[in-house]
Amino acid sequence: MRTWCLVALSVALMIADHRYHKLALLRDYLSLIAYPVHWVIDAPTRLMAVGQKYVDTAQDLQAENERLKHEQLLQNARLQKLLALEAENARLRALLQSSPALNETLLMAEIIQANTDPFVHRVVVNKGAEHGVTVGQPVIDANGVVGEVIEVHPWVSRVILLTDVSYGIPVENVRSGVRGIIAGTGAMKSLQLQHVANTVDLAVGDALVTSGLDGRYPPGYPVGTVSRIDYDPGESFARVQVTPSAQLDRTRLVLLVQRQKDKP
Amino acid sequence: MMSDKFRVFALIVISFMVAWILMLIPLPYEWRCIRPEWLALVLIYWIFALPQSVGIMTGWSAGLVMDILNGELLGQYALSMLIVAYLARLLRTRLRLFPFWQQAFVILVLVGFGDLVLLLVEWLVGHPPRTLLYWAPTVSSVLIWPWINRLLRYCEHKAFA
Repeated sequence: MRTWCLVALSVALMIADHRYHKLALLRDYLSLIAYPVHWVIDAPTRLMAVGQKYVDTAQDLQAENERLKHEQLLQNARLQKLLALEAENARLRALLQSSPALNETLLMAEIIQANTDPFVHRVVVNKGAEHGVTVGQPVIDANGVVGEVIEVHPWVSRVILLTDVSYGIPVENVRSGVRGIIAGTGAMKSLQLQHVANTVDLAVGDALVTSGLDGRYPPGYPVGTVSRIDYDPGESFARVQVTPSAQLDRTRLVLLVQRQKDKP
Repeated sequence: MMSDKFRVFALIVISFMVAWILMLIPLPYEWRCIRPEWLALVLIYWIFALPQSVGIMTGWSAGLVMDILNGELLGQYALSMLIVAYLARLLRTRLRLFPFWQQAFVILVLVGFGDLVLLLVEWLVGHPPRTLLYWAPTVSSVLIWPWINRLLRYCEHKAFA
C-alpha cells in the first residue's frame, strides 16, 4: 500500500516536472542546496589541479612557457589579419546596406557537474541568472561549439551538449557551402549530419561551422569535421559521421556567448 | 557512551552519503560508463542486513536526494530506488539459502530492475540511450558487490562491537 503511494508520488513528481514545468521555482531552491554539495565533491579534482602546479618542475614550466609564447605570437599574427578582415567586412556590409553585424560578448564559466548518467549529455556551469545568463545562449570552448543553455537558476545553469540525442544544430560546409543539420547520437565523440542526399558535395575532412540560420548561434563557429561518409545505394540519404571540434569530455572552462545588436 | 542503535544509524547515514558522493564524483567519460550503481548497492545491503530499520521509505528518500543532487527529472531515481527496495525486501528471506553465485544473480536482478526503471523513464521522456553500453553499470555493480558486502559487514560489526 505504502509502496503504491510512493510510486504514485514519484510519477506525479516526474509528470509535474517534465510535462508542466510546475516545479521551476522548487528546482531553483533545490539547485541552491545542491551547489555546495557539488562544490565539495569537486574539491579533490580542483585540489589536484592546484597540487599539480607545485609538482611541476622548473624545466616543464619553462618548456610550457616557451610553447605558450610561440602560440601567442602565432595568434597575434592571425589576429592582425582578422582585424583587417573585420574592418573590410564591415565596409562591404555598409556598401551592401545589409543588416548590421551582430556583436558578441563572452562570459567565462566553469563546468561544476557532469551528469552521472554517461548517456545524458548535460552539464551544470557555475554562472546563472545573477551573471546575466539567459536560456538559449550558445556555449563554446576554445575549439568550437559546446552546446546551449537550457535552464537558468540564480547561480548555476544547465547546458545541453551538442552530443545529446535530443539536440540538433544547423551547420554549413566551409568548403562547399552545403547546409545541413547536425544531431547528437549520445556518443561523446561522434555526431551525425542528417538528411544529406547521396549527391551532395561533401568529403571526409570537411570542416562544418554554424550557419546561424537558427537565429541562435552566431554564424561561423566550428562545430566539427566530417570523419566518415557511408553511401548506401538503397537509402536516399548518406550516413555522415562528424567529430565534434570542442573537447566535450575534457574541457572545464567554457564561454557563454551573449549576442548584442550593434548600434547602426 | 553512544548507544549501539545510534552508532548503526550513523553508519547507515554515512554509507548513504558516501554512495551519493561516489555517484556524483566527476570522472572521465570512459569511467563514467562503468560506474557501479553505488546507491542501489548500499541500499540493498542495508535492506538485507537490517530490514526492520531500512526499507521502502529509506530507498525512496535516498533516491529523491539523488534526484535533487543530480538536477535531472525529479522523481526518476526515487522511483528506481523504490523498486529496488521493494524487490530486495521480497527476495531477502530467500537469499540466505542461496549459494554465492546465486546471490550475484539476485543482485543482477535487483540492480537491473532499477536501471530498467530509469531506462523506461528516459524512454518516456523521449531521449533513450541507443547503445548496449547502458547496461555496463549493472554488470560492474554485480562484480563489485562482494567487496561492498564485505566492507559494509565489517563496518557494521565494528559499530556493534
